[in-house]
Amino acid sequence: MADRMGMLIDASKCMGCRGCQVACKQWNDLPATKTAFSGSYENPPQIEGNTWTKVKFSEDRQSDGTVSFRFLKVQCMHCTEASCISVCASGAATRMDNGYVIIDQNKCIGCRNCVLACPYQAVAFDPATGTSRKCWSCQNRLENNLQPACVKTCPSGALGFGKREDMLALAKKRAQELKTAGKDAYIYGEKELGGTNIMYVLDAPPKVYGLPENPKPATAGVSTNWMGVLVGAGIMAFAPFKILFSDKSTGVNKTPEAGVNKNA
Amino acid sequence: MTNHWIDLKNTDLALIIGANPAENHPMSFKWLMKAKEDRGAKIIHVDPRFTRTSAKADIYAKLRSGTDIAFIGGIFNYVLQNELYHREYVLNYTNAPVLVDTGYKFEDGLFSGYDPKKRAYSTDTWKFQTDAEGNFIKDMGLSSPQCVLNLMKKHYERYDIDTVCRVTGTPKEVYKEVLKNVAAMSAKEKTMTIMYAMGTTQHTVGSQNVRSYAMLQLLLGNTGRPGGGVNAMRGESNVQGSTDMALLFHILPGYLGTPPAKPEHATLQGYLDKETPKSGYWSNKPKFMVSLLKAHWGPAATKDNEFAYHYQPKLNAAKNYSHIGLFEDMSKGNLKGLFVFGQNPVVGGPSANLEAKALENLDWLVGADLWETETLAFWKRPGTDPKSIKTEVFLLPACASYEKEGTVSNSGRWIQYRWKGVEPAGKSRADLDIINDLGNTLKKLYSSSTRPEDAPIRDLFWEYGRGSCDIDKVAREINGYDVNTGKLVTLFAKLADDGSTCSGNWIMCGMYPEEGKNLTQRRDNKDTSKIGTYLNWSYSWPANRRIIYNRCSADLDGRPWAKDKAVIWWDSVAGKWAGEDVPDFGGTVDPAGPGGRNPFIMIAGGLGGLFAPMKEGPLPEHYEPWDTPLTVNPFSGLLLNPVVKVWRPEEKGTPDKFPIVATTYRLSEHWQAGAMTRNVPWLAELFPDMFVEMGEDLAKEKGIKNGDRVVVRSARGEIKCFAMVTKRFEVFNVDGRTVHHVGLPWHYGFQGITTGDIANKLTPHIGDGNTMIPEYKAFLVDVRRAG
Amino acid sequence: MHEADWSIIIAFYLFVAGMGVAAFYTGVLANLFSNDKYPRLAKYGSYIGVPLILLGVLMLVFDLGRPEAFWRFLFHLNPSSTMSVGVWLLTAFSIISVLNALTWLAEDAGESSVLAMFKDKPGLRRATGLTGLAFGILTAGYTGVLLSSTSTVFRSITPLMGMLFLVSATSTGIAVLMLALAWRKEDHHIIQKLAKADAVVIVFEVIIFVLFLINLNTATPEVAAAILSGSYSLLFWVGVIACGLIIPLVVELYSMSSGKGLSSSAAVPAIASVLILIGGFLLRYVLLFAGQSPL
Ligand SMILES: Nc1nc2c(c(=O)[nH]1)N[C@H]1C(S)=C(S)[C@@H](COP(=O)(O)OP(=O)(O)OC[C@H]3O[C@@H](n4cnc5c(=O)[nH]c(N)nc54)[C@H](O)[C@@H]3O)O[C@H]1N2
Ligand SMILES: Nc1nc2c(c(=O)[nH]1)N[C@H]1C(S)=C(S)[C@@H](COP(=O)(O)OP(=O)(O)OC[C@H]3O[C@@H](n4cnc5c(=O)[nH]c(N)nc54)[C@H](O)[C@@H]3O)O[C@H]1N2
Ligand code: SF4
Ligand code: SF4
Ligand code: SF4
Ligand code: SF4
Ligand code: SF4
Ligand SMILES: [Mo]
Repeated sequence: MADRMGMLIDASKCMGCRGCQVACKQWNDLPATKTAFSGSYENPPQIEGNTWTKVKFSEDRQSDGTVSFRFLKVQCMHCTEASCISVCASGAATRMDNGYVIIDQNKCIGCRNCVLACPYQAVAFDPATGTSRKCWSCQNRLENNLQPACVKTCPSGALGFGKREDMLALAKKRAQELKTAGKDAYIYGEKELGGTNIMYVLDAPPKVYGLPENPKPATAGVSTNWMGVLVGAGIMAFAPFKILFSDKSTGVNKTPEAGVNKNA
Repeated sequence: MTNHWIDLKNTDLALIIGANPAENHPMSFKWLMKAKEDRGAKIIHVDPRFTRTSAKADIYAKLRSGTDIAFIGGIFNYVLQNELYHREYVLNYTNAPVLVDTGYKFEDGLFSGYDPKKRAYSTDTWKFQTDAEGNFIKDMGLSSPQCVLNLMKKHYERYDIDTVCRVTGTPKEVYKEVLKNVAAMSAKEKTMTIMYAMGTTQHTVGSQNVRSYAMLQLLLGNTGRPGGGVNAMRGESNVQGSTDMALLFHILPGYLGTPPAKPEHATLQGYLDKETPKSGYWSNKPKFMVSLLKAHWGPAATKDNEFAYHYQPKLNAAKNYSHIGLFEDMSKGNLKGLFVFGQNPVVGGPSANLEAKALENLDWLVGADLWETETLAFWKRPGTDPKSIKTEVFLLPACASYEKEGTVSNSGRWIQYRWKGVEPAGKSRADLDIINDLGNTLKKLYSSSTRPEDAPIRDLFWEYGRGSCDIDKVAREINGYDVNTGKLVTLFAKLADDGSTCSGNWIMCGMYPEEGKNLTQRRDNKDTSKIGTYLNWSYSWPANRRIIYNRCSADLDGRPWAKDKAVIWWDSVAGKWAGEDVPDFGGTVDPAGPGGRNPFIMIAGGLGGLFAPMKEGPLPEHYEPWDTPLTVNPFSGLLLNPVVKVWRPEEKGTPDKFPIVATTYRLSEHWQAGAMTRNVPWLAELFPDMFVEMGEDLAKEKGIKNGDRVVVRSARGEIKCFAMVTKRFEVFNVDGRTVHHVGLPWHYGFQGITTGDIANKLTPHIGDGNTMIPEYKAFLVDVRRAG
Repeated sequence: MHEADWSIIIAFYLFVAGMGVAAFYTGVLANLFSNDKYPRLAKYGSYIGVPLILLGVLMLVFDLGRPEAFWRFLFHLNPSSTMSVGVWLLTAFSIISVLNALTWLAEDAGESSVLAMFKDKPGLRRATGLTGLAFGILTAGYTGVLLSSTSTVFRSITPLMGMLFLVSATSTGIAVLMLALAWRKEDHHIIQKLAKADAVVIVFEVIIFVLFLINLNTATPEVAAAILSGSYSLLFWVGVIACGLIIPLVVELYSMSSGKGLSSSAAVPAIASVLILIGGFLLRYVLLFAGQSPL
């Protein structure tokens, strides 16, 4: 089994230049989106079939009156408990040996179950291909011992790439450094959804960055839900039908009217 | 840059002022982040608006556009009043103790020697007192009121915290934090870097802004040291190279002054007498000048004809050759033709309406560009009738940097050779080849002319081959060689003033010292120094020095001020300077001997200039921008820099009509006038349209919502764009009033796949007192909802 | 605003499929518990259910990015994928229900019909009815489980989604049966019985709905607010609650209590049914779209 690889996104170092966003499009031959003025620095507005990674911007005024301007690169997190894999009915979404989750474009039929199920809105339907597409961690670069295109591009050193365990160690070191410097520090992705291949070091709570704090995989409620169905079926079959329609008398030819009146 | 990009990792504090490197020089953050991570460095960002740089800063200090001198002046005051400067450094390496002429005065915004008619100063009273041998008279006890330090202290007394913040609009508490943090950097073991760019320079006081930073670094003892220095982050990828090669009107290659058409400069001897200082390294100027003339006119430059000095074009004192001056002249119809090589003034020039209109007066316009820019399409710009424009326009397709070979000099003065990455698109050609054709053709046209005015072209030494240019020959000529043997010159020290050597640019001499050894092609990325000098990667001028003035990194006796900030040090056993960098100093000059403590070798006296003459005075003084929201300057009775040339007095924005301060700037996602990025779909999608950023208070006052279409007007013109309402712009409290501030990216135009209105329709046609760089950064506007 | 990934077609699909299977199994259930006294309900259920379910499958296929690759669904079973399980359920149900419908059709068709082989097959009818009942209930539940597993919003408030959809589907199934019988004067007593059953179902639905909304409000107040007082509130209160639940319930209760007079009019149950169907569709519409709002 290949080493499990990972990417570390250090939000405290990211300066929102969006080099990664463009590098991804360039390397993966993804066409541009025709956008309109968005009212902020963020554009395109969401991850799309031809936008696999983007930088989210948010601005806020802190309680002490200072302004914060935050940037977060988002893309497929390559979850261990990957909702996309679990909901995919065609077997297109699969996990590779190195831990990455990819969508086989030949097998995908574009049902968009994964699109809805992904807790990170990180996979999207591409009308041009009729399939769902997302970050595949530049497997064709990894195979040639190159870093993913976004990582290679990042000028600030906010993106790191390597064995997941090394990235996690680095994340812990950075978090410690931030704490020492008197900042808030959070690691995201270590445990979420069974541990994601992409991890973050954050200098504010995940919620502030728009990351779901307690993401649940698509499988989370499936069995209890089915239980609910069965219970519902039981109650319903019993209450309205068993009680209302029950008729011990036999014979197909009996006039139904009689039965109705009796029970009415 | 006095230092270089990688050196940023050695800093303890980055004072980023007048720049937005996270967006415009993103690679700098690789090293700043390292400094943060490895040494707990801090970042202070001083800017009118909260940017992506501010987001990464530890302290964000807002200031109103155009008030940097007030901001820095306040730091001077704080540092001087509290004696927080680096005393040993200041006393010994700068001109702080030197006594100034007793005629020197400063009164109500004016220095002594001002002539209001000429709007210029005579510098007679700004001189230093000298003894009989011509040496400066110093007061090492700093008790004389005439010594530089005390004059400075007196000058900046007026810059108290209250007055400074009244002018700049910086919150006082934040300003005090800045003072505390900056002043702490005068400690021996600490250094602060100053990073600046266009927020500093694009003002009527731009040069003095820069000077104020340089003075601050001298006071703190931070120049010439790792993690210190004054670092101009250059713009266009090779603008450092183009400045070095004198793409400007007032200098020749290697920062030699362009000769003016004055009687004293009529002969080479006259020029050399006037331009060559008696001491300091510039005393070698004759060697550099003669070698340059030899490069220009080769065998036609002889001792007998003063090396063809008479061929060298001279500046007409009545003319202004700056960008603004040229377009003013063009407006009057005084120019017939124009070459624009990779420039787009209809978008990037100040008062864009005026400049586009001026082009209509041309007979012909030749552009070499990758795209049909707004400038090359000026005749079909919105609102014009192409039929009414007579100008004939030619577009020469130029190829991009990846499609050709040659050097690019970065901000750190590293001259880096680059090889061609891809074949040129279509019929596009390298600029060098286009110029070579032009040179060859002109020479041919004039080859048989006997008219004296044609001689400079006829005799031009132009031997770079036919068609495509032999770039290796160009590199050799720039480096310089012995004209008799053809042997390359190893360093500028070997250049001669007798016509035996030629060199196209003395400061680059040494980059190609030997056959087959073009050092700009070096790519050794191993570094053995702790401070990351990478001496075997490419070549930096002068003499491959990475940190200039690096003698300052050592104390009086030649020992590094701090262990982890060692650059060069005196090896008393070997009797020479050793270290991690090439000494910017006499290699064997003993620190205890004569001149051993005079680190600024380019300046006569070798001392850093806390006091130094510039066009508007020897000490930076705060003046308001041309368009100012103030009616009185709290520091003096003068509003405008007294030496700037006012071209269009009627086009002045006043606060009654235009109450809002505006500035223009760049975005990471776009490049300059936009042709390079607005034509790239991937980049166009990131910022698809022109907008104006404004604070929530202003938006509320004007009934504007985020995403509304708005009209922005100035005394020069008006534009329509989207409103971006943001928390990142805040109101300013200026002189007791509320002043709103807005900002506009200036990347948009009417050509390309994504378009938008041109910000420069709003900017004034006025420039800095020394350099004529336009005042793009501070002007007045009004804003309203469109419709 | 984020363009919805699942369009209105999927809302229709969920609605139609649920209604179809429910029409089938309510018919079967009524007939089953009454000891075969309501064969017509079973037959109508079958006749209504089969085309609806096939229509639903067509909608699902049509909405795929690559409809031509639909077959991949059938050649792959992913037990953790509700969609995969659902497609298999649908397929199984389709086959079973078609067989069941054929046994009815054969009876209605003339002697010489090609369907003769399905004539007089009470065993087959009973077997397909019972298995169809089971698969139908699972299929109806699946539409809810599907939404809860794909929606990052509803994921946290299981297990009520499947139950809610099952109950709601049952109500729409009954409604469509009532509608089908409405024009037959002689069947009004059946309609009345169905209306009674539906009233009980609606009461269940209301209870489940309230619990569901309480859960939703605790887990994701923003989405609850969007439904209750935000962009979906009109559709929700007027469409889902008033049209789909309260008015039909009132009408049904009223018609029951007021004896034959009113209920003999075909219009009243028909109106109730139509309202239920509208409400049933809007329920799916609102939950589908509210569930897609990114969190
Ligand atoms: N992505 C990108 N990078 C570029 C360029 C580009 O077009 N795009 N252009 C290149 C070129 S040619 C250049 S010259 C450089 C320019 O680099 P910068 O100087 O960093 O560029 P600007 O964005 O024009 O201005 C910098 C900042 O100055 C602030 N400012 C405005 N007025 C004042 C003032 O009075 N005082 C102070 N302290 N700050 C002020 C502005 O708000 C802005 O944030 O960038 C280069 N890099
Ligand atoms: N309002 C406002 N205006 C400003 C500024 C500001 O801050 N505010 N900044 C000013 C500054 S600092 C600058 S540097 C100027 C820049 O202003 P310009 O120099 O006019 O702007 P660019 O867009 O960089 O123009 C470069 C052109 O060169 C072309 N080009 C690219 N590569 C090559 C090549 O290899 N050969 C040739 N021949 N052409 C090439 C490009 O296609 C582009 O059209 O703008 C100034 N204008
Ligand atoms: S982030 Fe979304 S698309 Fe990526 S693995 Fe997780 S569930 Fe799948
Ligand atoms: S869209 Fe493609 S990858 Fe996603 S669930 Fe459907 S078949 Fe699988
Ligand atoms: S890893 Fe590759 S595919 Fe994924 S976001 Fe980065 S560049 Fe795009
Ligand atoms: S390239 Fe790096 S610094 Fe730039 S936005 Fe992406 S992660 Fe942030
Ligand atoms: S813009 Fe160009 S030079 Fe600047 S950091 Fe990016 S790649 Fe380097
Ligand atoms: Mo520039």
